[in-house]
Amino acid sequence: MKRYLKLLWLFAKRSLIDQMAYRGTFFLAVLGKVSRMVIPFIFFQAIFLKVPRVGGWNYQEIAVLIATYLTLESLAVITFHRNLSYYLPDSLRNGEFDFLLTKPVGTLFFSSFKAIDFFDLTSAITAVGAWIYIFKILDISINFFNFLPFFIACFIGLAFWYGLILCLASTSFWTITATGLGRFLEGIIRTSRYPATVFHGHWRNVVFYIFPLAFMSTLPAGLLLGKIQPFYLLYAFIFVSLALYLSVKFWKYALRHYQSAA
Amino acid sequence: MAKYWLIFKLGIQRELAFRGNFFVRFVSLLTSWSVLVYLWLAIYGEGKQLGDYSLKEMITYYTLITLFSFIITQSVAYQISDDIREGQLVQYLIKPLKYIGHQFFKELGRNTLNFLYILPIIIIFLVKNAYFVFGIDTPWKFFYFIGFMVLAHLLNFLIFYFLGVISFFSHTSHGLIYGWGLIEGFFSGKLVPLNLLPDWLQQVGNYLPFKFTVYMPIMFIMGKIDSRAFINALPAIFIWIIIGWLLSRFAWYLGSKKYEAYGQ
Repeated sequence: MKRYLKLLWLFAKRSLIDQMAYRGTFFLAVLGKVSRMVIPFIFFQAIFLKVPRVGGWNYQEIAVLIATYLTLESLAVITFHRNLSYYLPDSLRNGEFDFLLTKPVGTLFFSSFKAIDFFDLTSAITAVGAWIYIFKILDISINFFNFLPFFIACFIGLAFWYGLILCLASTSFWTITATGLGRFLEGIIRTSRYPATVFHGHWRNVVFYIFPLAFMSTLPAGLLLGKIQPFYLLYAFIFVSLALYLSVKFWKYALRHYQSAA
Repeated sequence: MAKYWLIFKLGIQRELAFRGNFFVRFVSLLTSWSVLVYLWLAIYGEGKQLGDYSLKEMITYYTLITLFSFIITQSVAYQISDDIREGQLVQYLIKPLKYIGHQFFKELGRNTLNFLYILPIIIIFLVKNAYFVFGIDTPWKFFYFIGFMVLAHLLNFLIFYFLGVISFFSHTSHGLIYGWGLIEGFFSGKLVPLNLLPDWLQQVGNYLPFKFTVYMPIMFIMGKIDSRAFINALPAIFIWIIIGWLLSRFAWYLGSKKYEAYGQ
């Protein structure tokens, strides 16, 4: 465990040095990243200028939802998201994956966390800023009993994200490039910035139970705000545990079929 | 010109070879579109109206945004960034053609094919006018619309060509392109119609070129601005095209001087 943590730190340091080598573009990109975090708030502010509620959520509640999504997005992007959706297919295509197999470290760990993108820590800092803003405007009290389920739900949301990306990344052992699929999933995941309660009928069942995009941000934010029953957390835990188990199984299956084609 | 025609055709052929990517993107955008439609249904379900947009107009707006995503793209910036980073650019430097022309016609080929792919949806859009709003009802308006689209495409190309060329001065500008792509998306109206934004943001948007690439052409299609607004916008569009061209050439000039073509 200690060895893996040390490796994570080294990956992160190397990545930051790499990014900061070109300061001009680094700071412009930081500005872009910060804007990315602010834009959803402006989007909903524009809407709430005209309506009081969206899908049963008021502006303060939507702000919690967006901040939750942005926090999870930052964590995913800093750690596994790009590694699995972009760098892994690249390494399979150009033959670098062969070298990875020879390293004395778990292949899944290395593939998932090779490039810890400290650059995106700027987004995470903005997400912290968003939370400070929310605590100022929100009129509910945060205590142990609503924070703990929120924290667990965030972890579940992140695990669900990881499972999805891992499944998708595993397909790149058979395809020329899975980058298109990476973008596909990004587009779908990004829709969880909006409250899943806007859906009605069968679609609501789909986003809550079958393809539960609601795990990403509606669940944690809903638990924090007392808008979702704790029972749903249990369902999410079972669902994601199973999904994660199957994703890792699929990864191992895909790895066994790797033919070092480059 | 014959060589650029060939590049245009190669752009189409390349896109045909990776047609799976189009359909993956199509499903992704269709999902985003569906979520947004549900979101707007929920918003309008509150019994309110946003600005001067009816629900039908709002759905039309986001349908057009989705369709525009296939023909007004940012991909040229990523392509140039990769060419520079991987050392592939050198093969273009020794060829008797302009790199900017090569990229423009390749992009044009790609977008032409994408347009053909979405043409059936456009036809449905025109036929099912009970669900959508369509304001181009005279040949003149159609003519203006074509002019608008040509200029929007050119302006968008120059914006992202410039962002791609910045890679000469960086290890990779993917983060920069992505971040600024989002800003462009916001101020071009891809997220929300610009006239629904707070006044100060609309003012900021007025000093930027992005609204001419998506927002104004869509407003024109929906009949929310008339031909006179298009003609009034022409000087600003041309000025931004000239600025985009000059900035791109300047960045290319400086960048190609320091380019060492070592790749990664």
